[in-house]
Amino acid sequence: MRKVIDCLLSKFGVHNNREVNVLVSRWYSARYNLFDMQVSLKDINEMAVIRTLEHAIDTYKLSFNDIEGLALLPALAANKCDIFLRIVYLPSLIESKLSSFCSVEYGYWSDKDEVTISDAGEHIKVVKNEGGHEYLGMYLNGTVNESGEKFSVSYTKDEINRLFDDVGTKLLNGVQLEEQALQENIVLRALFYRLIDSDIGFMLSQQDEALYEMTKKMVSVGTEAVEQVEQNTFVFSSWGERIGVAFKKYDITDIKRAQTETPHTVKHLSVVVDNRGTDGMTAVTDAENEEVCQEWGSW
Amino acid sequence: MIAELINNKEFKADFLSLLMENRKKVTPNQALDAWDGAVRAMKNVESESQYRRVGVDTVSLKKVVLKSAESGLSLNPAEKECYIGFMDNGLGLEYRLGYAYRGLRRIMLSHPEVKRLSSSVVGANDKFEWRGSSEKPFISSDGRDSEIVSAFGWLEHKNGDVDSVLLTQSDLLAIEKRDIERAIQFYGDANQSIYLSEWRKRMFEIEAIKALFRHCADILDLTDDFESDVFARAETVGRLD
Repeated sequence: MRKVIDCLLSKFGVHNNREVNVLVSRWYSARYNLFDMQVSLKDINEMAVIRTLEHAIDTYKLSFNDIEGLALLPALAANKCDIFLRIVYLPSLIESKLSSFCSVEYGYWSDKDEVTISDAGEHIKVVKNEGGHEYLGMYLNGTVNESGEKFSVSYTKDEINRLFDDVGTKLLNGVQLEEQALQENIVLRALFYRLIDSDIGFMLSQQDEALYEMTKKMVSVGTEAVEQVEQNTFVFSSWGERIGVAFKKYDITDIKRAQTETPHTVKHLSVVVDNRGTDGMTAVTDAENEEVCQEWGSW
Repeated sequence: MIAELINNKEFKADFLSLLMENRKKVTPNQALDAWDGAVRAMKNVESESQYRRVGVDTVSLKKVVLKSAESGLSLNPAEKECYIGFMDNGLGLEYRLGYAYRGLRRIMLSHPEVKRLSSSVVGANDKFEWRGSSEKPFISSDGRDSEIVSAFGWLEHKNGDVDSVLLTQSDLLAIEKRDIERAIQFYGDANQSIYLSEWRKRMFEIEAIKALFRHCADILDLTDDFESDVFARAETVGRLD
């Protein structure tokens, strides 16, 4: 964690020391569930975190304020052994990047809200009411700065349920988020995917190709399946012949268990050396009061 | 055979210059990505031909690749705009340029007279009024899902004119049925059809965009440029995305 803080301070200046410490502590203190155990950013090599974070900052030219719009999440690699860092660009960041092209507002609507959807050239009207139990959809309304063109995109209930499932399965490959608000925020990001994949996206590409490409990359993170990693690695001799296969014996469950569980004292079985000519058993043991086999076949 | 085509500098130069000319605001890097996509597509054709033990008709293949550039579309799979399809005609493989909906949308939006286009589905509980093919239909939905009864698309010209197209429920169900049958044929499992997934509504919206293209091609004078295979592919086979 210290190295990540140092990295961010070197990029954004020591005057942001307090904010950087708070932010990185928040990233590292967040807990996620994987199978029956907890994982966090601490399970990822710190240098790997720095490399991925630096790549994101440099690629998208992120300012210090922008990195508040990043979600740093642990994801299970396809080899089931490693945890890698998945950076998700949250809607607030994408919105701010698109602000030179359009203004947007977005959110969910619930079963208690009053909604009116016309077509893609009009805004979706949502009158919020208290007491909603479930989300029935999500929407994004926008207006192009230059032309004043209005647009809207939306997802249905079935679609957002699928997107919620995809966060755990596709995006993080089995790692589950505990924080519902973060999960909702991640799902909202899909609205920008649909925006890019519309006539307005084409309009953006014609007006500012670089911004279009950047937004497209940001919204596409995690839409692909988790990168496949070879479970086994072939071993080649110096003359190029395949002479063996190196395989990983343990998966993440074993690794985490080894890290977190304290080994309990194992009672060694005593060895029965002679059972002839005696009424009972004779056992060789150095430990006093240790359970021994009293008769063959029973303990 | 394919290697000769791929390494043919004149062919590559023709491809890039056609693409730069016909794709609006394309950057040199994007053009090179499209060429890489074309190379990959040609290699796929070669693999498929080897599998079927037929020769590769390089002249026909070259023509199809150049046609993609002439249409201003990228064969880069990440763009999902077009692809090289093939049909076994008994004598060998016949190549055709297949158009995905993103490609069709790009063709329409690249037209100098076109301003915007969109598509949507209509639910049984929605208020909907079809106002003919030269007006945008009226729709008002309360945001609650209901049975899909139709889909429509509209295209707005820069002069304010509108062209609309309507797909009825029977049109949509026929498309869905065809896709499910294909899923059973190829995978032996109807559930492999995307129409049986959460994205059913989206698929109908995409079909409405394809229908919009077929409807507007005459109006936008696109027919001669794209021949009949656009319509055949988009209507009968077409990719799902």
